[in-house]
Amino acid sequence: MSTVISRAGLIPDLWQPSEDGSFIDAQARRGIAVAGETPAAEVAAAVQARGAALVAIRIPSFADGRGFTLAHDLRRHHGYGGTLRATGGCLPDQAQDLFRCGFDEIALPEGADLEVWLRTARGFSDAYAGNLIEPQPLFRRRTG
Amino acid sequence: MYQYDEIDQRLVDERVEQFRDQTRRFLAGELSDDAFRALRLRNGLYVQRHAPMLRVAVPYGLLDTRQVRKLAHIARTYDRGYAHFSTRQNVQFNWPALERVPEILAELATVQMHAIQTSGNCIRNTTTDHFAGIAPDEVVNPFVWCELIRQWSTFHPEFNWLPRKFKIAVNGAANDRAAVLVHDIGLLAGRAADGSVVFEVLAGGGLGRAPAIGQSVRAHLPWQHLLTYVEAILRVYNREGRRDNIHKARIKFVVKAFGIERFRDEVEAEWALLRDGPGTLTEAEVARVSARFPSPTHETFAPDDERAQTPSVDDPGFSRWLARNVHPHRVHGYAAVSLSFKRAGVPPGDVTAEELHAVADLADRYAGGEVRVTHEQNLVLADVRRADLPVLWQALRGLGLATPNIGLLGNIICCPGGDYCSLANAKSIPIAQAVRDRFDDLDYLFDIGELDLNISGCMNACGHHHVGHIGILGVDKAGEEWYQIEIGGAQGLQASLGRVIGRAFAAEEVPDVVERLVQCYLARRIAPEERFIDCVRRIGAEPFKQAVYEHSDQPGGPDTRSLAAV
Repeated sequence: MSTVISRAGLIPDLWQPSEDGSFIDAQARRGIAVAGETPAAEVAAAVQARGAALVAIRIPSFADGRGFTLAHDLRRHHGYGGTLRATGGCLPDQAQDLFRCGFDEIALPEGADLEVWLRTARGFSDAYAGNLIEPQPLFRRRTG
Repeated sequence: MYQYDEIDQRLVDERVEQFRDQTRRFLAGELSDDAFRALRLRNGLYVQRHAPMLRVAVPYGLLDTRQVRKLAHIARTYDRGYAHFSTRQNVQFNWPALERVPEILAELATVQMHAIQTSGNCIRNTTTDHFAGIAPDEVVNPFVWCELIRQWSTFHPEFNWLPRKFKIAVNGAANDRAAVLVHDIGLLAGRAADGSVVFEVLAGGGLGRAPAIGQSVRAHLPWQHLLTYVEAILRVYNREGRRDNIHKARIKFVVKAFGIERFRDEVEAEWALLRDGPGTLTEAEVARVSARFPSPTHETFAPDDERAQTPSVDDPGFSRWLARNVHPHRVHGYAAVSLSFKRAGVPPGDVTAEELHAVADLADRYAGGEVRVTHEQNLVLADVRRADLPVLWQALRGLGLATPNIGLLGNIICCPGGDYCSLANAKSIPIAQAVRDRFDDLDYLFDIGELDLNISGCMNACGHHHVGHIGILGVDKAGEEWYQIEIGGAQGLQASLGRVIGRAFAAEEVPDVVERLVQCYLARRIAPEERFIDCVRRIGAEPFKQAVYEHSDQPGGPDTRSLAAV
């Protein structure tokens, strides 16, 4: 069991890891784990083949931004509608951007300070560029 | 400059609070060195040789006088009374205390300034022509497009952790003064037959290691698609850029590895998914951003109105200043004025708090309250009435900022180098000063004519040495500082990269080497109108190599110091 947060806060971890590295939930739905550098088309094919309802993208290091683009691509270009989870070495300061790129949840690293994660995940009130949470860029929403 | 609205201000304020929290967590031991390093870099904070260095963003080089005075205040209160203009049109402070940086950022936010994304592997400050909006050869004013890119790239959720830093430049004039060919993305703004704005999009240019000239990805991109197209390029780069070797991580290596055709195909395929989507720019947004730039008011003079003429001053110094430091303006009766920060005894681009105040006062009185930072590390007052030129010249001369050396050998571009920068292999400022001192005679400088000499203290090429007509690169050989000399580089639409002429030199040899290059040029130019770079292009590097090395009677190598004895 991991400590998992969503945009709404702390949430229960519904996914049990199995020995082959995949996940299964109480309804026997499957989840897969992929590395952040995996091409999106490959992940989409694996989702299709296994009927996965969870994709856990492993971020190898907070400095490696490929996971952000992978999440975006799965959502926007491959129409993935299941749960997207970030695991691995991300920083609390990246939480808000992870959500904006299409992640639903983050499995926190061992020893993470939950309070810091929840606070930083709400750091900015808006974003200029359109994203998965707010597809309309700020310039289409400004009134002045 | 663009005036923030409430949302712009709130986002910058939230950034200050975020960094205050990050600094607190770091000082409390809750944030690792590695993590804090990455986060502080995205707020322009380096840890340098002596102290932290804070790089403050000056979007597209544009400042108002309130901001200039705030920079002076920060220099006095948090630093040692001076600041430094960088080659990315930014401002750097060399001595702030780490604990006080959140306070500095809070002060900057009160005048709509910040240090967001001035370092780190993210999208950096968008730069442009320092004569934007006033140049007679301008086709499209690039400021609005720079600001649109600035907003899009600020806190972009997907592109804050790229393989490497990413630099975008925009130029909208017949001549390129923004070095667009040596940027990760270069945008050449022009007009379609119907008068609408279109961009030629270049990618894969860059200085640093393995310098490269950008290649054309799309010849005519209608303005509505600017941000989605840039997004497509960034996404391809974030997917494909190398992360296993920091020296091969810039986008130019992707362009090179793929070849421009495949790179273009990837970008176009990505763009096809974004095209006409919500990121497509609207006329309303372009109009909104345009309206938030204050428009300077100009007096209208009749063609023969003598108030539109430059008054004559019986002083050769004034004529020289007019020839080098005063630039044409699209409005009759006006001119742009360069303030030279290339002075004896002062590192290139350094400015004191007192000078910042004095410049702000002059800008308020004579230039509509606006000051521009150039990538050549000088300042420009862009809107000066010709009638005011004599009195402005007197004032600038009094400040020591009227040296008529813009475009000449004295206008050396130079990074902070080994005196300050922890990345540097060698010092650069003392080299700039030694060369400058050697060519102190103005008659001689004017005779030599236009010559860009650029110095970098390491391969990162912050001093743009690859595009100097003469480029000097500091290298480390077995713990000693040596200098490689390149010739044949140039910025502009005919940009070219310099080539190393031969073995490196010791610091004390460099002025002699430059002197020999110059003498070789003077002896071989067809006419004074043939510039140094034109001459190198015509006759090739060989005569220059001979001129430099002919007295060198020992084989090359770090132990050879024959030139110093000549």
